[in-house]
Amino acid sequence: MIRRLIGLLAMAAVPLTTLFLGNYQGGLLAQFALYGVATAALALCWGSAGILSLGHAVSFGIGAYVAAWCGINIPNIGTLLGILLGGLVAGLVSLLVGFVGLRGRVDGVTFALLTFVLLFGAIEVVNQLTPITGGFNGLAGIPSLNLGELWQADNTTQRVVVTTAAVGLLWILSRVARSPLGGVLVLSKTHPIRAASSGYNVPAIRIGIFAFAGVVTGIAGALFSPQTQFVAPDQIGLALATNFVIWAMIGSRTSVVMGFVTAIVVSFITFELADKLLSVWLLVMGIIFVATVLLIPDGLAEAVVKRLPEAWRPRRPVILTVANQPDARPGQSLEAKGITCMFGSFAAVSDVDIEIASGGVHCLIGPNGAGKSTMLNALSGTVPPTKGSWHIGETELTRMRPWQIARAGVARKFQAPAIAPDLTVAQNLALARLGVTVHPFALIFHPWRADLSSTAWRILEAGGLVALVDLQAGRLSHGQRQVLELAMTFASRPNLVLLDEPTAGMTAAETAAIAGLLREEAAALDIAIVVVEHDMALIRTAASAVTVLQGGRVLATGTVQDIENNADVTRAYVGEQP
Amino acid sequence: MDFTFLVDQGLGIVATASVSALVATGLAMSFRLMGIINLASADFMMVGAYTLVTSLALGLPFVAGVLSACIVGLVLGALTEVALLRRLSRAPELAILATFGLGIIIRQLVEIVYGKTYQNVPNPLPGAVDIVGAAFPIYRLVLIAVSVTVIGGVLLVLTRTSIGVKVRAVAADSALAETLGVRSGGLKLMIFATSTALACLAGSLIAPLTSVGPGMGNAYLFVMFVVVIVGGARVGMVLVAALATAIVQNVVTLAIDSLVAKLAILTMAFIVLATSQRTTKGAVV
Repeated sequence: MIRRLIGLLAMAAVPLTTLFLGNYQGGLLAQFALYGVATAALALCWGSAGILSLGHAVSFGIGAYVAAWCGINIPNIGTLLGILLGGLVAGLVSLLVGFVGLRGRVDGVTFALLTFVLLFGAIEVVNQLTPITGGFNGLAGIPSLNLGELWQADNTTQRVVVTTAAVGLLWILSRVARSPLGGVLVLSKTHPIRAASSGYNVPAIRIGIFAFAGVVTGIAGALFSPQTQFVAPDQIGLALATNFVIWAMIGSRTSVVMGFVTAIVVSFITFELADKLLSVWLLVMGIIFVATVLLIPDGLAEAVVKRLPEAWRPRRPVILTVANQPDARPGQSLEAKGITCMFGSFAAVSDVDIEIASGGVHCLIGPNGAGKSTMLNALSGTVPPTKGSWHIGETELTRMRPWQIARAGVARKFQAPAIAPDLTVAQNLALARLGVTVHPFALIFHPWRADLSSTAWRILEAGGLVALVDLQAGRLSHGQRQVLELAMTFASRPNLVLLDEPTAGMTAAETAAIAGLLREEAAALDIAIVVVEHDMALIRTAASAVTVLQGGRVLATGTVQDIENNADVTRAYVGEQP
Repeated sequence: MDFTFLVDQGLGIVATASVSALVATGLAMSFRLMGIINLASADFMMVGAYTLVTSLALGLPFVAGVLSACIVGLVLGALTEVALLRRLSRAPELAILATFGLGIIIRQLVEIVYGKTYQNVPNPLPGAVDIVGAAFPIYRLVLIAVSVTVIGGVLLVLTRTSIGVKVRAVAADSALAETLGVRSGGLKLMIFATSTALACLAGSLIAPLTSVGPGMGNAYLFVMFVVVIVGGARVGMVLVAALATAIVQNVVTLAIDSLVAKLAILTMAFIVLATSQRTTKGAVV
């Protein structure tokens, strides 16, 4: 409550300050607050989702020029229309850039380069399309905020309106960053495949957030035009793009508010020094920037927060409850036919038929390189098979993307524990739960609250994690991470669970506890569980059926006893017996 | 369209391509090995040009100026690698930002020392030669010859010596290559220093054809980066991309205008990225 009040007061302080500062300084504050919003939008993309754009000024410039042109050329509604259109066009351009570069095929460095190149293209357009943009001279005489004859803002009203809008946009950005969607962005930055296997359409979410940041930045740019009443390439081009990155980096990529504050503070200093020492000041900024990259890569805010006493740090409590309504439709078995996975000319899995009945634990064993993990990757859609089809119950899974398969009730645990180390244990669990039922963009308005299945709670208890839910997941041990990801897999009570060596790194006692738990839960919930395992103790305790793979083919299928007495299997593992 | 015109245009395209190929070869080498793009490339070009300007002012001959530009490039590149990139080798994104900041520092230092005014470098080989009827400036021919020789030399070293194999090994798995006896640190130092030396060389070579100023490299940045986006981390592909970009740029400039030409190569970069399958891991999300 007190935190919220402080936040509200701090937000109101910016527009109020413009009243006291007078026309000149107040106008500057309004202008710099708009830079601040753009910086905050960059910080959201970059800090949360790991999307670095070196051409962030393109969105700002589009907004500024569209608004300037509309304001000058369209009577009455021009200014208002310009603000809306500015945001829209900037968003559409960002959408296109995101569509090209954020579908998981282009690495982050190349994407940054692409945005940089786009910036140069945009500067060229502005410079040469003189009839519309005014070329090097820019557009002057842009009217202040107005609704035609109805209303025309004077200087004071204008800067109060502009700064209020800026603070409002900042609030929206900060709200998105703190929402579960912000958590999904962080998860998709560190573990895109984990995010996909939790039911999130990662490319769509990343493109969406990039376009959203484009819209917000475009609106900020569109407000810039009536505020400064003049736009020119020098104001907006390379220098501003560079500044956005510098401000976001120094402030903190992970804090949108800090980006906002840094942009305003540094802009004022730069402005004060503009006439006297600009070259030296820019040199100093360059040095500060490089020093930040080297020494405090998380930025000032993060460096300060890390040194605060535990009680002072911002907290993000997550409410975890026990689900009373099971989501699963029990009794569905998985049937796969002719699964073949080719890597070049090498067949990791060839023509495997497998049936996994519900109500039991089906173990997938075999020597190294037998194709066990590849099989799980195929069934969960992570590495789509070259050939073959599979379905669970009535639901056809063939050719579905991993997030669609996850939403169809298939949960997956990876061999190396895949979690978001920057989020808390509870946040990881909540995201695993929300992914399969809540639409990602509805997550902006969703509270940090999730009902976990009773199985997930049992796993957390068995692994001693219940008391640690508010801990950062990155501080867990390897075994604890295994437990966490296992619990995440069961968070939403799936129909089919695919586990890749779930107990690796656990003690013998923990392994036994988990093995028993898996067997009981499979039977009690009537769901199917597939486990890839080497540990015979676990297999003997848990397995109701075993399939042995060798060289990408099924060698044998049956009960544990059948397999242990199978001469072929013995030969596959220990070689020819005398 | 007559033959002379074609030769003239063809040589123009090759001249354009050779400068961007020189820098882009260096960019691709360090991209391949270290996963980073040197965002200060334009500023290294500018440093090369200023080294030439200073050498000429000191009375050195043109060739000595170009050579000293290469040496300055090697030294600055080595310093950058040791002081910045080595410490950030685990985070490519931070490493490219470090080069971004370095670019600002270099630009401002040059601006403080030399001022903002543009300087001109006299053309050491004025005049033109007659190539099947087309009068082509001699200096541009030399420029093409030097670029082709240097790039050819780099390609030879990368394909015919063990360095190429080592580069591939370190690019695939730096730690594993270390255990096999490859000094990845030394290799990175060498490759990055070479790449900055190539940028400085390119900068000094274009100095007589343009005005030398603190922001001179930016005019080339656009094309260079498009070339790397289109070509990726492979030197061979980058050379093809440099040529393709130069063809599109020169032809469209001639047919329509330079703005449409720039937009055309930008569109090319977008199309290449939109249709490429560059993720090697094979996993989809």
